[in-house]
Amino acid sequence: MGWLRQIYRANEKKVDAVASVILGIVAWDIVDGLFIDNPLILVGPSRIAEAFMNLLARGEIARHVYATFVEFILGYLVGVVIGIGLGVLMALSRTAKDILNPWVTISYNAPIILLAPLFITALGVGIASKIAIVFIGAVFPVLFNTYTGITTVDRRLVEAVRAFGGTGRQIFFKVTVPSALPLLMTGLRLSVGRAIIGAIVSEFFGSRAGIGYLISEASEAFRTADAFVGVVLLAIGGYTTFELLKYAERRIAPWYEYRV
Amino acid sequence: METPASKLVVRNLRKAFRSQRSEESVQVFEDISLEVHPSEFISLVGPSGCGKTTFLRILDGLISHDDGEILLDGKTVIKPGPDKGFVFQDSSLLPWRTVMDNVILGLELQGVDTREARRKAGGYISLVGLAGFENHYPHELSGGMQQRVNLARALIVDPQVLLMDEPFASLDAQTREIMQAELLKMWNQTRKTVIFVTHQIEEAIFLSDRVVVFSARPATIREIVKVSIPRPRSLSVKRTKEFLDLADRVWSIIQDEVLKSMGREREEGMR
Ligand SMILES: Nc1ncnc2c1ncn2[C@@H]1O[C@H](COP(=O)(O)OP(=O)(O)OP(=O)(O)O)[C@@H](O)[C@H]1O
Ligand SMILES: [Mg+2]
Repeated sequence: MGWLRQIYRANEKKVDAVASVILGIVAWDIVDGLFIDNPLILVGPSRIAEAFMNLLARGEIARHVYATFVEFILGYLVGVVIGIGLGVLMALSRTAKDILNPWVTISYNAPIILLAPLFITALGVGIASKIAIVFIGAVFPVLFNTYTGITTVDRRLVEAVRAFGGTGRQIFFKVTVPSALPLLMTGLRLSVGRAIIGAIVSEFFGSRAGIGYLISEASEAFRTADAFVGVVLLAIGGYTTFELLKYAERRIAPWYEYRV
Repeated sequence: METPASKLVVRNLRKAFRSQRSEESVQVFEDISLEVHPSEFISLVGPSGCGKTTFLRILDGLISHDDGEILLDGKTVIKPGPDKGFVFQDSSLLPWRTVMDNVILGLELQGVDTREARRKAGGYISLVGLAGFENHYPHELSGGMQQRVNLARALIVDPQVLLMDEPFASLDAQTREIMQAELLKMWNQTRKTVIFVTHQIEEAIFLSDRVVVFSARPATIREIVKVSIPRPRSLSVKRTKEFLDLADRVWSIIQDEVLKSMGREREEGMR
């Protein structure tokens, strides 16, 4: 048994996390099967798995995941590009900052997602309105983190490069950009969740496919297990993207946690 | 007018910092003149806040001065460049670059081909005793090793003058002594002109040909103490009578200045 304990010690965190998830699922299934045997109120993992297989066989999973993924990725990419662009602009130009700041602050703090129905009225139930809503979710964390990354660059590093004859351009690309990168990566990561919520909510308000559509349509038809399949798909998608970006962050800026 | 024997000439330097909000200004230098010979090792000591760092930054061309003249090899200093090497007090290494890529920075900024720069850097990394650490990141190095990288980064551009701002201040006493001895060894090999700022009087004496003592702000040169201890020096000279007498002398000069500046700070604090 000694070797088992050793393996546990080495991977304590991972083992604990996996065990916790498995236990939770089992408990959920037991409560569902034994105590609340009503699929309208609660569906357990086995029923969800069953519903998943059914939907998968009918090609529904692929259809919905694809629709949501396309909305997500397009809105997210536009959000990232514009977020980085505006963040850089606001960090480098006082005038740009003074002009844009009130708009950015208002848009960030207002729950714009609630305007989703208006977007759909204006842009239709097609993909354009979805991309717009995803964009709004994604753009701000990227913008703020880009801005903060650039404006909080260590002045000692700037001075060091300047002392060796670095030009403004060289300082920007050799100091400012690399030192802003970790925060930018954090922004990319934080905006994933908001972008996914944007995609789902926009689908709630009018669509013909997508995970949000699956959830809302299944709930209305009392197909609770199908709705849960949608939720599980979202959880898996969100978690995977988040972890991938976290991994990329550590790979790109391994020095970040050691900076002084 | 300047004799060709002078590497660096500072004449009637004046500098004040004006604050952006108020009309107040801080006069840092009233009137500083100094001539440094080629291959001379000069140390700069003086009370905290008297303007030593500011002096180096002006010599490098990082900031402007109000009046006076600075000539390096007879040419007016206007901006930073490869003719000057700067070694900063705290780690100013780029944390995302390896030792190798930090060292080549100065060459890279001049547009030297990276491969060529790396080839050249190898020699300087060995010179500062870091062979084998080329691919380490700054956070993987001790404070002493980081300062060696800082030194190699300044030496590789083959500067006419090396400006060092308390490079050993954050090191523990033992590492500091080792670094002093090694710096002298390297200086013997390269014979650079060095301006070395420090708070430690014995460090100043041990390293230098002359020790320049700044007065409290507004700073003037209070005195220049010549150190005639023969070279090469080993750490044991720090215990000779000649050395201790010199240290006493510098200390007594600096003492009134430190007291003066402390008195003024207290006044400023009360206002
Ligand atoms: N950029 C600046 N703007 C305004 N005042 C400044 C600036 N840099 C330095 N000063 C002021 O100039 C004076 C000299 O500062 P400096 O850093 O050169 O002193 P120092 O001799 O290097 O001090 P220390 O021994 O503590 O390193 C100080 O009073 C400081 O507050
Ligand atoms: Mg200083």
